[in-house]
Amino acid sequence: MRYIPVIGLEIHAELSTKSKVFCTCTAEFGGEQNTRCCPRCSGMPGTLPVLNKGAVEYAVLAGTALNCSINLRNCFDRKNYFYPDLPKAYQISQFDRPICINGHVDVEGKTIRINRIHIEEDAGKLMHDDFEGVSLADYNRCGVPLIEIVTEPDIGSAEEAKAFVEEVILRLKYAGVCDCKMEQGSLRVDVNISIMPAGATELGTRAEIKNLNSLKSIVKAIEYEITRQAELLDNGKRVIQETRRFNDNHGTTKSLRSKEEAHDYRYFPEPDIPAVIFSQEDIDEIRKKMPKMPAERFTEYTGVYGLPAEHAKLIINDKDLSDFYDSAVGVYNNYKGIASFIIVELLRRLNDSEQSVTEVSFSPEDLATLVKMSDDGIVSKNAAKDVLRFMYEKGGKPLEIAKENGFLMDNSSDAVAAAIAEVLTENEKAVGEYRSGSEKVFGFLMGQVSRKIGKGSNPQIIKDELIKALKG
Amino acid sequence: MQQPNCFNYCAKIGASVKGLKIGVPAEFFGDGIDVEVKASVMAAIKEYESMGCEIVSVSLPSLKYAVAAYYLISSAEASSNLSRYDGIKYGFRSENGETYNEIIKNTRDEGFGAEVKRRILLGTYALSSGYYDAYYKKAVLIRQKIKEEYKEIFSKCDVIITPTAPFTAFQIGELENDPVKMYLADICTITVNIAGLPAISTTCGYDKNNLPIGMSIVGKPFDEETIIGVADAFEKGFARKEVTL
Repeated sequence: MRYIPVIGLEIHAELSTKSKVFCTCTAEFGGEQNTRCCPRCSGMPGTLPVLNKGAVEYAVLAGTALNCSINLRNCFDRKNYFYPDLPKAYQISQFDRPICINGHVDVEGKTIRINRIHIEEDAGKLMHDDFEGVSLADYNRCGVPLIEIVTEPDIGSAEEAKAFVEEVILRLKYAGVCDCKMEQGSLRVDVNISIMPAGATELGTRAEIKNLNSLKSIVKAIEYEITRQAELLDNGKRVIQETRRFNDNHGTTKSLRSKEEAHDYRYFPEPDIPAVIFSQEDIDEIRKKMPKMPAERFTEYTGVYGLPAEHAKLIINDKDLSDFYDSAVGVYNNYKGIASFIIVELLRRLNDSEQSVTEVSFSPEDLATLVKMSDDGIVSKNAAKDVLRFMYEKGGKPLEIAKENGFLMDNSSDAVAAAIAEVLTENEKAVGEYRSGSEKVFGFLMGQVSRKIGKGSNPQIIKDELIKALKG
Repeated sequence: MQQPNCFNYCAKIGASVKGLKIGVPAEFFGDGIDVEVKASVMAAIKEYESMGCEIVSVSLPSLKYAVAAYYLISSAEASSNLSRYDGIKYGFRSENGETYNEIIKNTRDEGFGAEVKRRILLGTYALSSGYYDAYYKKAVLIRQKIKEEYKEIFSKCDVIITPTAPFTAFQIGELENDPVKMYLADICTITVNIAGLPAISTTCGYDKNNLPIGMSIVGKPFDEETIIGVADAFEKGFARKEVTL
């Protein structure tokens, strides 16, 4: 490649606290416009912010998940600018003492350093109605706690950026601090990107692309920027420092404002919020609430549970699925059996119906029970799949479903003996072939017997009895 | 975090002030303080002495920087606090302007008075990049210095007494065209705001025009009950006059 891209990211992640960061309004996504706001988050005169302790704890957890150090003394600052989605005309943020610093995440064998993570409040949403010629403001999102994760410029390609964001999303989900629903805007990414000729030591001039809300647009925006900047340099022109906006429909970026037009945010310490001072014990206490991270689970799944690495990865890639698996193996310890049942049977259905495992109508305990029923010979392996289909489609307990639908294995040798007798009479030719040494007809005869017995057939018993009858 | 120990403000009303240490910072009785004001506050301090209080000399050397620091910090904060009056959600909104930028600009231009605009401009300037270090940051350092000096003072006494204003009330509008003089009239009270201390002002005498003279009793952080008790002890023996304007 003629040019080396140098990329840094700013990831804005909404914390999934119950209430907003400085008031008691719900922080949940959605709701009718302007119904989830109060005098405080809509910036009425005379109101004062009170910091949400949960948001601070979540930020500490996020920092821990991304290998950061936590600052024990934390201050908040005001970032001043006029925009109708910001009712106070300043955003409470952290300027020079962010809560987390010096983190890193390893992606595909490369270390991406994290410069800082700070806490801030989200702004409202503007809807521009070109038809009516008005702009409408919705303050439901205003005051929802955010963290901004700022990386060092350690990323070298669009694919690397994507892999990094995916890894961050996974960790934030595992830490339980953000639902990372990019389509709902709970995770948004700004990309800082410059290119320099291969072999150069001096960084190029960077452009910032704001507000990317899908992995696809991150990749497309970076690829477009690399091409755009390369063309400029190829034609002897200069890249100018500016903020750009990505157009999803065209896959292009467009200048929003240049460096000269950049805001002077006039940061200064927020006088309405006292410093938040932690002791090391406070931090340790918060970290106790940290759920097990993906890497830790991987070691456990492959080491203690003996799962193949591929299976472990498939389960871990979805935190909800991994939680589901953990609960199931907590009830019944056939680790491999439950894992392969989840991967082969459950995951396929989830993918087909585009559902999350949290939406299915049975519990991890039900799944564990089903696998145990299959292991204990209460239902056959094949019947177990049918039971799962019923559970998935209609809900219900596995044992009841098996009973109601005749999936229970019939282990009485009487029924098996009767069926075998019938089959042997009906298939004299095949029986003759078997007895004269052609073992390949055995499968056919097995199938005939199973069909006669129906769903509850127990293949092991049939096999044993059939061999006896044929040899007898 | 420092917790307020109690909110029983009336706890010391009627209690004896005997043995209480009252600090008198010399800087509050120097040049620029009206002679009558000085005499009246000093007389009140004598009165406390006769009630059994111990009078201690203390010093707040950074008082001379206080007005400058205070007006930088408070204007900086005000410039930000007042930003919410943009005419978007409530209050006055200008009829003029097509875009929201124009509406915000015209609303603020037409809605604010001269003194408010002066402070917004001063505060915005003090916070602007390139000027922040020279103004806002320096003011914050002075605030820190004043806090430390007060800490030192309160290691030697329980409360301090100062005049509330350097001179008695001026006429409405009298200093309108001299904002600096008007700001200087706050010299006696602003360090209390800067340092975050509780203070109470009560009348301690009258000037030759029968205008009231106030004294301020300043206490340690969260020690409201002491300053209220001290003020009450003086008020009980003080003959208040009706002031006619």
